[in-house]
Order: sequence, then structure tokens, then C-alpha cells
Amino acid sequence: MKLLKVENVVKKFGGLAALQGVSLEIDKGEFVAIVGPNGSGKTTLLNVINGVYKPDSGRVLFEGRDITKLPAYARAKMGISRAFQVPRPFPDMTVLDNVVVGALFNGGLDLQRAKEVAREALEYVGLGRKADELAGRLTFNELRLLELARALAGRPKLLLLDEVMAGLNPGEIDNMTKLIRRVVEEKDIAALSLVEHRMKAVVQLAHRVVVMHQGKVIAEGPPDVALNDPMVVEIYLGKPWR
Amino acid sequence: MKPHVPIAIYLSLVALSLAKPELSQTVATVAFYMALGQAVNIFVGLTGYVNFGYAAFIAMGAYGLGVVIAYFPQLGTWTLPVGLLLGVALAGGLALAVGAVALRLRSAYFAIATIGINEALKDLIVGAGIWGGSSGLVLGYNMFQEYGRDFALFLSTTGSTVLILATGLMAVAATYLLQSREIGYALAAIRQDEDAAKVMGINPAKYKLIAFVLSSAFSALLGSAAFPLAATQVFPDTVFKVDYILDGLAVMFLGGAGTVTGAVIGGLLYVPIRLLLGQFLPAYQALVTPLLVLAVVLAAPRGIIGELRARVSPKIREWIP
Repeated sequence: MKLLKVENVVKKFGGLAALQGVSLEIDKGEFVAIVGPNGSGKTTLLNVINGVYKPDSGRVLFEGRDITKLPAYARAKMGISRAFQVPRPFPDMTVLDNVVVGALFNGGLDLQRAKEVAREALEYVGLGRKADELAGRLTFNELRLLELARALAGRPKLLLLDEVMAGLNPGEIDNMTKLIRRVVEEKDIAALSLVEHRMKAVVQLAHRVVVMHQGKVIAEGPPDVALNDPMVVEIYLGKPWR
Repeated sequence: MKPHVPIAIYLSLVALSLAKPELSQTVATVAFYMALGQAVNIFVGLTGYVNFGYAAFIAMGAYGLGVVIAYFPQLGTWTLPVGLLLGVALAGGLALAVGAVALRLRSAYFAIATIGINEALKDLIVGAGIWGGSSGLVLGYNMFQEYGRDFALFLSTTGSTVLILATGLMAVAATYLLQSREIGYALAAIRQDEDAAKVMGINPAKYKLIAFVLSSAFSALLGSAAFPLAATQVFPDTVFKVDYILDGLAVMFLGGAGTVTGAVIGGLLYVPIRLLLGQFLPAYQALVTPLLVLAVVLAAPRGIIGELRARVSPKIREWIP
């Protein structure tokens, strides 16, 4: 059984068809990168997967169960975690408490255990010494790490990463790449990562790349195959990948 | 977090009203605003939503006890617990019904939706002539019959004061317990970013509804204590007054929204401030509340306790939750 199955999803905003029949499958432990230019429908797809949007037609299945009509919080409880592109911390809570929220409600742990898991998650991403600071005081890079820690503390089966590299400097990208590689290797969780900028950093981690354009999947496969597809080169990359 | 300070303030007020019955009236006035602020804080302070329907909850408490005293004299002294429970049940039921529908709306829309509740209920009672209609419920005679003269007099003085204080104390305990448990994390997350909270597995409607119903129940107890018990009468014009939410918000913002101690300090200061300003500018007393809210929100949006908490060391912060 596939962990996640997206079947023929259509999502329209007024006259604009953001997704025009997108299908996608992810196995347990698989790392998939969704690549595509701005407006290609990546973020809409992510929002349909975690329940922020309901599709106009098509289905989303998680562990074989139809979750198309479930609200976002119910999907989170089933094991879907998300790290937002623009970090969305709870600014008046401490860094630790932010992660505790993830462990409590996304991970379904009791308060005592949630605090332990939250500390571990902060250590894991290297934010341990910031635990007692207010989240509103973190730098952008630290907020990114906080997003990741919060998502991991939810002990997800599927981790949704939205442009985790955007806005980071080369050193920070290096660190984030290592971190995500570790997550993928150690934690046995599937991840779906959206990529528009900083493609190389994410694509080198991916088992599979899905290329989107104007609400459709135009190519799919191992990174070298998908990104050397003539159509992908033509409309997105401009020159061949590698 | 250590809730000792607010609890100690409440307990000393209880002691004061028992030891000096002649001060009971003053203590009751101060305590009413403290407790009202605390009740408002449980919903408005913890969720960030504003409800203009608090008068309806206060009225449900007033009518709950009033109706039982007026129409069920055969219950004798049992009218008191039964009436209090009925008031809480009416307010809780109303909160549940309104909340289940209106709490799906985002904060500003929810606030607007609640404005209509007061007026609708008042018009229903006056228009349909139920529960005494526009002439209200006058309860003095029945209370003498049901409780005996001495106990009735005690109830309308010290008794109602102690009930107000007990309600405030319970509301303090509730605020503290909510904040130190899972639901406190959920409410804080909802208040700061409801959409992110949802994506993190929090069902906002559920937690907002819990806070709303709790808050309504404490408001109802205040209504029972202040009108049928203390004033021995319930009139639609006095119980359905929008002023209560303004007072409650003023107390909460003055002390610090979302804190445990805030409404206690806010309530202690609010009554003297109104009295003082009322003496210097008697014609403008009604202006005091909105101006006070405006000044606090602009100058110190976190309120007295909120600003203090941000400035003191974590060790002291523990003592002013």
C-alpha cells in the first residue's frame, strides 16, 4: 500500500485552474521533490494534501484511507506534518513551547512526553540552546529550523516541506541539506518537498522528482531523468540539467 | 506558574467581607468587576475572540435563579442550588448553541454575530411576556418565605458577596488550570495563528467552544449573585446591559489579557479609577470606560501584569502568572 496517493485532483480558483488533474504517489520512506516555476500549482497541491484546500474533484488517500474530506487537523493527527515556506511560529510562546504544540497535537503525545520529545527535536535541529527564548526573537534561519523541529516533533509518517531552502545563505543551505539528509536516512519518514529556488540542494537528496507546470505533472522519475526531459528543459530550466 | 498571589487576594477579600459585613457592599462591587474580568479573560483573553453577548450570559444566570425563586417556592432553600444550576445550564446551553454556529466565524465576524444575542433575548422576554416580561421578577417576598428572614437578609448581603468572590476564585483556578494543560497550548496557538494551529492538529472550534462555555458559566454565576440574590429582583433592562462586556474588557485589558493575575489587579484598580474620575467629572463617567480601554490598549497593550511579566526575571514571572 502506498503511503500517499493523490488521484486526478482538480482545484480551481474562480476561472483559474490551479491543478488540472494531478496524480501522485509516495511510498513509505521515500523522498520526493516537486519542482516547478512559480504558479505551477505546487503549493496548491501541498494544500490539498494537508487539507487547507478541498479539491473540486479527485481524491487524496493516506495509508489507503480516503482523506479528501477530512479537515487539516484530522490529517495532522494521522501523521502528516508540514513546515511552512514562510515560517509561522507562535511568536509569544517560547521556542520549546512551539515545538511542544507539534508534539502534543500533531504527535498525539501527553504533555510530559511532549516536552521530552520537543527537547529532543530542538537538539536534533541544533536549536537546543534557544529553547527558552521567545520564538518571535529568532533569526530567519532559526525560524526555519524551528519549523522543521516542530514538524518532526509531530512524529510524522509524511513530512511536507515547503521551500525549506528559500531565503537561506549558502552556509545555512549546507546545514539544512545535511539535516534533511539525516532526517531521511534516520527517521524512516516519507517527505514531499517543494522546490522552486535552490534546486540543486534539494534535488540531490530526492529519490524521485516530479516536475509541475501550469497545474499539471509534465515529467516524473529519478532526478537525472526527470530534469533532462526535453519538455522540462524547454519550459523551465532553459538548459539541460547537468 | 504559581497561582498563590491571585488566590491570596481573593481569600483576603472573603475574610474581609465575613469579618466586616458593613464593607460587604464595597467588596461585592470590586469583586464583581474582578470576577467579570476573569470570566471575560477565559474566553476573550485566551482565544483572542471578542464576544459582545456577555450580558446575555449574566441575564441567564439572573433569570435562572430568579425564575426558580419566583415560581417554585415549594422547593424552600433548595431554590438556591437549583436556581444557580439552572442559571449555569441556561448560559452554558446558550453558549453551546451560539458557539457551535458562530465560532466557525473568524474573530471580527464572530464579535458582530454575538451583538444580536442580547437584544434578541431581551426582546423575546419583554415581547412574549415570559418570566415576568417587562415588569421583571420581584423576589423579596418569596425569598423571605423560602429562606426565612435572617438567612434571606444574609444571602442578599454577605452571601451574594461570597458567591461573587467564590465565582472569581473558581474563574482564577480555571484560568490557571487551562493554561498549564494541553488546552492552554491549543488556545495560545489558536490565538496567535489559527491556520497554523489547524495544520498542527488542533481543532480550533473544539477548544474555543470549551473556553466559551466555561466563560459563560462564570458570567451566569455572577448574574445570579448580583441580581436575584443581592438586589432581590431581576429586570430585563438592568440584566441585559451591554456595559458589562465593556467593563469586563476594561478590567481584563487593564490587568493584562491572557494572564491569570491580570483581571484580579485590573478589577482592584478599575472601581477606584471610576469612582475618582466620577467625582471630578461626574457628567462624563460613562466616558471613562472606553477611554480607559483605549489608553491601555495604546500605551500598554499587554496590561499591567503583561508588561510586568515581560520585564521581570523568569523566577519572579513564575509568581505573577
